[in-house]
Amino acid sequence: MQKMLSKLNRNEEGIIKSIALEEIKYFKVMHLGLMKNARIKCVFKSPLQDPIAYQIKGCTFALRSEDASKIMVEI
Amino acid sequence: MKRKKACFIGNPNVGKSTIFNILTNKTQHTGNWTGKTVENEFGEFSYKNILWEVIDLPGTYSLIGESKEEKIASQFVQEEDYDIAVVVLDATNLERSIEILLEVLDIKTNVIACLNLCDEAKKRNIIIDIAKLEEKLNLPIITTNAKEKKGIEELCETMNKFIEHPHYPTIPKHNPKIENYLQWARKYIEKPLTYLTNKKELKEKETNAKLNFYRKSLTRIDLLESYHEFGTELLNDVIDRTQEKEKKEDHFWNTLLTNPISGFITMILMLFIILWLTIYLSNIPSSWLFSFFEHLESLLYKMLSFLPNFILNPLLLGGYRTLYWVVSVMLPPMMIFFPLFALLEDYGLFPRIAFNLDKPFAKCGSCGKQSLTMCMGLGCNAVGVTSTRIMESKKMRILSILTNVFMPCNGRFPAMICVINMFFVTDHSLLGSMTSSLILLGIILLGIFLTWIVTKILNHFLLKEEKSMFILELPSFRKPKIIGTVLHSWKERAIPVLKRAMSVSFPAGILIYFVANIHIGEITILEGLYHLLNPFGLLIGVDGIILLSFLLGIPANEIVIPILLLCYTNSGSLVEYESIDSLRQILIANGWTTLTAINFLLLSLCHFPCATTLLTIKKETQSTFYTILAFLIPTLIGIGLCFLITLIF
Repeated sequence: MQKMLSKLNRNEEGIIKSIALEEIKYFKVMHLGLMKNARIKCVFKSPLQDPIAYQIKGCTFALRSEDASKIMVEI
Repeated sequence: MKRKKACFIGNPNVGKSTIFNILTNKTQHTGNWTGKTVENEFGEFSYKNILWEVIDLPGTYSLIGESKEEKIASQFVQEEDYDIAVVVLDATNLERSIEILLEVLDIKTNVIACLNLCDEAKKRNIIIDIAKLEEKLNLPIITTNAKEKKGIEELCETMNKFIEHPHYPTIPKHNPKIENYLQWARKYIEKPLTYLTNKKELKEKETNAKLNFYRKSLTRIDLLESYHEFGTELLNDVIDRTQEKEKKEDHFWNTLLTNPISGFITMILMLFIILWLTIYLSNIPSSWLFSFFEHLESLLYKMLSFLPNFILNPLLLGGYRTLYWVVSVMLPPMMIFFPLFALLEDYGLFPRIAFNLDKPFAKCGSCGKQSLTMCMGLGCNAVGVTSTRIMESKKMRILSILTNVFMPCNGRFPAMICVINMFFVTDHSLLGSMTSSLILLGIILLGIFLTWIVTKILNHFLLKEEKSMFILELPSFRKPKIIGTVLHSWKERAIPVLKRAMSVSFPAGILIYFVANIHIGEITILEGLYHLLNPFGLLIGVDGIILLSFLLGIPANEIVIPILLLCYTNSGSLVEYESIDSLRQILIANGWTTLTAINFLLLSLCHFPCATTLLTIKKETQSTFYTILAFLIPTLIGIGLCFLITLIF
């Protein structure tokens, strides 16, 4: 089943299927290892629920849910 | 001795600067957040028979991007001459850090790698088969733990050996999309990959047209994807993450800080503790310094008594007294505040703060990283302004630069503490120091509130079209080296700020002495200025002297209080410091009330940035308009606030 990355629950994992970010953001997230077919995990949310922290391999980073909703994952 | 040149390349925050500092004995600051180094750093060291000139490039994830750091690094790697490129890899995140190594291997062959943070990886149970990776890439990989200075000797040894026996590493294989281009391009162009991302034209028209066709169909993203695919395959049987576990302290802090209730309480509590420790611990050394300088003064007086009075008095009563006031009041808090702050920074707490605060900043058109620049501003606003370079868009940078002054810097809060202790806290026990810290905390929170409001308003007027964004790495917590960090923060942060304040306060003291003692007609110049400014001062609930002190304090905020006292004491020279109570008496005798004190605190928080900060703003924005705005906005707000408070009272 595919769903938006922003809808992932805490500690839920998925495989990235598509990324519909503008180029400048796409480029930034690529450096964090966020690419097609990478395994991504939602690790925690900020106290105000947005942004959300994700983990790919050894790297933890924050994305706003606005951006995370443009990324689809297979779970 | 031979001279050779090496450059250090790697992702941000992998310890590149730490290695560079150990090698060159330099003290470039290394914080645990992305983007500390933004320009090339140069240094030298010698090992055995070679004198190495080393260049620390800004940390980047890639050489094919558009950001400032990426451009600086990629230009250097491609165009400069050097004997070795040392690529620093992060053992805790090899999958990502290897990509820049692959990019370098496509351009150069004189490359060695250095796998840093190996202990950290071991702690997290990440298993890396280094021998296999060395064999696959056919280049030497040295394992280091820069924080413990482990592996540095081996690194030097390998660098020297490489000069004698260079060898050729594996060149990355690309996916069919890129390979297709390469097959064609190798016939016409040297280093064809670099031509894919730069805009250089080829002489031959037809080839150029074809190149442009490729440029259109292959984006940077395709290129990065290709590196990523190769890297993933390369590391497939090199890294084993099946046993990986989250570090205990990471788990602890992540749970604590991301909880809706404990998250904010913890952040405020930490700020409070830092302020309280600073206030509580600096009281005693402050009074020591005062009495030391007073004794020294009587000595100096005797020694210099051969000088005529018109020289001796300005020097001692003007210059020297202002100088020792600044040192006694400033030095202790700085020696406590800066190290405490640096420890938290090195530990890796700041990105978490940015993470927690992104939402309110997003509402104002900025992003959480602004809170990082505000943290730096608490130390020194000029540093805060420079640190806005970590923000992605021009709009967010300008917004944070224009509002940075709402964070009271180290030059201002000793003065605030002074006034708080005089008017709002009468007992000076443990409890008293806590109350002062609470009041100061309140002022800083007011500063944060003003930052939000001003950012939001400016967001409506400036650079409307740009949208804010927030993508931030949250590094793992790393135990800082306590002694090293403390010494470093003294040497690199506290001392320079103090030096600047001192170099300003001595001449300023002499100037004030003359202003207060030279008569023009019936009155002194000081009295003249006082009468000029006083009506406006009274209107906003302060007086002419307070306004004059802030104006004369433009070179450095630290001298505001000494000037204030110098002006109030009719003798025309600075009073000796006896007790906080005697100072209070002087101020009260000159008409200070609680209202005056409140307004003084408000003005301290909201007035024009000091000269150094203004120059930094000019340099960073390249715009006189923004520099003037940075001057006017806080000043007008300060005047407005004081006026309002005075009306209400």
